[in-house]
Amino acid sequence: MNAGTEPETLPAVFSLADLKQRFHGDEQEAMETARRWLRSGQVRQVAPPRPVFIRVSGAEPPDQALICLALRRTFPSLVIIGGSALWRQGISRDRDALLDCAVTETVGRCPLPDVRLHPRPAAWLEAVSRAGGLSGELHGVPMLSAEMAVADAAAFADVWVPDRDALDWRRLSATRSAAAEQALAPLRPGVR
Amino acid sequence: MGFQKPFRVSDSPRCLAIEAVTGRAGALNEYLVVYRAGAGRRGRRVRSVRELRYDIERLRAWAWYLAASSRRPWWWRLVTHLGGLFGRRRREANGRRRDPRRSMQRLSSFSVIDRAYAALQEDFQGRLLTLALPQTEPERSAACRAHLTDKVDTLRGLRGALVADAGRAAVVCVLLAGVLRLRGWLGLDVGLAPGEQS
Repeated sequence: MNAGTEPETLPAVFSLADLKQRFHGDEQEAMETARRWLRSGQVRQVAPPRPVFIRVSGAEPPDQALICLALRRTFPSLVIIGGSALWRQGISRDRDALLDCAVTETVGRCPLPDVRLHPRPAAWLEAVSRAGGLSGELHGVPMLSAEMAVADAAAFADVWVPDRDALDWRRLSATRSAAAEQALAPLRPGVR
Repeated sequence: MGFQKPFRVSDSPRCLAIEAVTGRAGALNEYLVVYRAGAGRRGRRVRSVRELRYDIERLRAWAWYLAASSRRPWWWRLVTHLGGLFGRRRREANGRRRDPRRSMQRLSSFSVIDRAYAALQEDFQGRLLTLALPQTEPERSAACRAHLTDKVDTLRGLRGALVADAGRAAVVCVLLAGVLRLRGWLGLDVGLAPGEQS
């Protein structure tokens, strides 16, 4: 096996297109190489069956910046939500155990450690953005604003948020909270 | 780049092409929403928003053109004729080129469409790779593999046909993107209605 076909010769996060480029457009060779790396456990698909891969080095989990990059390349609509957004904005005293992210598409499993993906309706991102519900980012991944994170958790009830006592309510604006709730109201499960 | 729609069976190369183009436009639109909301550095963000908006316009234009190709209305025949006339000598290169009027890098129309086809093709290839993993049931995987390989081959054929027709595609995209922009200003629908795909 020549050195050019080792996963280490590619970036830590790469797509099938990158691999094809490495083989000068030879699709068969790229597919065969990806298959071999996946079977040997040298790389993982970020969210099977998406054609984005992350290099795995032994038992050591990839760092958060790398995980964020891998998820961003896989899901254009990726947004950090729930307690993960609240803790990173200093609104919550309780730290998240998993990085909770929303994507506006159906997701199967995500084998990356310490990440949980939550599906949202197609119009969710547009509604959140229109209501000014995105604020800040983590390694390039946008985060929900504190008010929108609370409204989203209440509307979809599928994401961890800290207890009420662990939140700094003084830093949440009542006006922005009401606007966030209003923006998400038509998208709540069961509402048509 | 991820794809918007979950796996769906398309009946013909035309449907597959529309699926590729609309899926890519949807994915780019999600990046656009994120950039518009303020993600990324300011200078880069403004540039990205303009580039994305322009790419989405051309993808929608091409999807509209493909969708109308089954009915062949008068405007479709006119646009096809103009595309053949002005696109014949047009050389469309792959990749980005600088637009001197707008001081930004632009993908050629050929590249925008080709990348859409390539994205769907790679999506199917990603599924093929997942099927090759040991935990997949063999019976299910054999049937799926044949089906997916067929789709990958169809998309390869579409990309090959696009290379031969790149000049016409560029003219069609420019003309119809203009019409779509005009429809947008007039408050008319600019999306591709689901029924138009079949």
